[in-house]
Amino acid sequence: MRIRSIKNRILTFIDEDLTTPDYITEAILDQIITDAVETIYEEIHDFVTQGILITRSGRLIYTLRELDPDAMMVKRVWNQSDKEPLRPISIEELDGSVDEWMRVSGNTPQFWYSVSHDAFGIYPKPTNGGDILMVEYLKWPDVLLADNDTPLLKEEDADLVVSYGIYDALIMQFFLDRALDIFTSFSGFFRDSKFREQTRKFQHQITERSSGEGVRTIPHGNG
Amino acid sequence: MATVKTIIDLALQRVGDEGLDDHTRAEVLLWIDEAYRKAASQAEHARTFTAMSLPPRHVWANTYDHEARLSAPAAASDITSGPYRKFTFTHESGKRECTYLWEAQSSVGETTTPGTRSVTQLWELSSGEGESVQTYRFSLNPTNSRVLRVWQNDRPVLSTTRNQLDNLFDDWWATVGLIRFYASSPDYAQYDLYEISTEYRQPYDNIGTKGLPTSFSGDRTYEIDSDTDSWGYSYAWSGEPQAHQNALPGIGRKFTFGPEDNYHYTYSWEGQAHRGETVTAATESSAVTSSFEQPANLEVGIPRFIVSPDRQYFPSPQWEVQGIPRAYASSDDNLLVYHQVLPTELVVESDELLMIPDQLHKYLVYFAVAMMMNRQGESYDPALSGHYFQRADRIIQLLSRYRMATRLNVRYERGRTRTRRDLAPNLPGMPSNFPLAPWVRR
Repeated sequence: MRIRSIKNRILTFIDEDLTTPDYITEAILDQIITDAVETIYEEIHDFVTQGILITRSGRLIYTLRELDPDAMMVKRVWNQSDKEPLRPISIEELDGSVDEWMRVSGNTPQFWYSVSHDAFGIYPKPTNGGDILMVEYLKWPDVLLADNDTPLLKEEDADLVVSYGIYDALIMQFFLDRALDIFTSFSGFFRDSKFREQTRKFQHQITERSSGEGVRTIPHGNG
Repeated sequence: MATVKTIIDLALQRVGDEGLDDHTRAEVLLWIDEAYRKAASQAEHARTFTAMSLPPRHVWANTYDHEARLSAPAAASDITSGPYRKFTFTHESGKRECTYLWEAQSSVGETTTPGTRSVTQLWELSSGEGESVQTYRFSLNPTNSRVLRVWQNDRPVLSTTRNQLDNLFDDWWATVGLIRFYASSPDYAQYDLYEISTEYRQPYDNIGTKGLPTSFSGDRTYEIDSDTDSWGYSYAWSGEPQAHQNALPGIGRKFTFGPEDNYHYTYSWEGQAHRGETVTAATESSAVTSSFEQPANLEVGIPRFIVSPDRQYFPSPQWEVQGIPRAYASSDDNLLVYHQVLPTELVVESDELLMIPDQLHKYLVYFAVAMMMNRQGESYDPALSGHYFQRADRIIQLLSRYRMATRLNVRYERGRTRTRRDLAPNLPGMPSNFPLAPWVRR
């Protein structure tokens, strides 16, 4: 569904003129659609993209800003140079397992841990840099708002943008009851979309070959 | 990145008060500041590392509790800002503050007991003798919300409580040894350490008291990474550029070492001779005064990053790398604290809210709108206000999720089935005709 269609549907629903709307202007519509797409991305964790970070010698912590200023959350880290995934861990587990883990250096990183909402670390720190880390992460969209653009959503989820846009437009005109009805239907669509996302994940898990991993062990010393 | 001004504009647009008939920008600013702090404190998402020297440093020490009200800086140069330490003990219904315990005994006419030691700053423990009755306590700057983990020389320091320390150890506040535990102080703003370390450590020391640090020297080897490799003039003595009334062209480069006791020298052996040390042959090449002789990168401008193959130099906090880095610290043989931080300064319209991604600023707008609609006036609408409050709270769940990336990512697998043999070792078995012990009944 194109942006112009989305805008026209919103304006039509709230009884605004399509060419010269009185209250919900074009600028407000742009903001509404941006908020709608961002909200959908926040709720449906189905939009994952990949980026690259290069490890540096002696460096433990990397920020999401170095990867992508619009990165939301890291999902998976893979060492492309070694063709091995980095396993998720926590700082507490590292403290409990490895003495002076911040000083341990190794040939290749094997674990990654969350430091803050916008930074993550790797263990052990690389003795020599240059490894390519493939990072899969959730990302906020670049919302393109030209009339012929389409929001970066699956076509079956485009109705969500319209629903949210109508809700937001009604809220801005202080029509709470009607807005809440639309928001309920938006949530319903959203649940369907999440269901589709979870179904895809479930199907993927069934067909995935078991890694055969047992208890997680953390190597000590140089890797 | 969007500024606070944009957020205020969006909030006023939403309630239809762009003309500021019902609300002022100043009050909307306060609500946005409140929403920002609330999101950071409840989501607990903003975390950073802070390295601290041992013994713990405090910017100033106070005698009376009321002096703590002076800790809010009136000006950037106000020395009363920063972590402070009360080194006295209150007694006599709050009328007196004593430094030594014998003063309290003497003031009520009792026989005094000598022997305790008092220090104003904890680093004074590195000189002198005697046991201190004051706790060895570190403080973090006002951005700190909650300490999560502490390391000393990169080894974990475990969390405990003062009650447990009281029950387990005598004089725990004065026992010298390896720092093993930390506990919240009674006011929960500082943290007591056990055991204590009186040795004075200072990984980085500022030479000179003004300006910004531009060069580094010490046990480690530092090299400059700068694009500036030529200069307009050379000078030997620090005061020469000013002596020429700063009228010399371009950037100046000091080609001498020092000063040491106002002594500047060209070769290292001259410095050794000046200090009365054994003179060894110079290891550096001839002094370079002009860039055509040997280009060299100049330490120009503000240091923006330090790179090492052995360790990471981490800006703290990492999302507010602005201005001049004033303090450098190391976790090597010192404390490293991993803690949650909050914004402390009241935001202004030109600020960018770096602790929260731009895409989540809409929830701050919702909070401000909720507050505007909750107030008597033209936009008063409690039902709509309640709905906006509910929408605004969503930011807390989102930010909490983003900081738990690895916890959300753990893949759970069905483990192998555990049999009884796995649960407990087999008991020794006896044959059925083995005679029973007299006290066993069949």
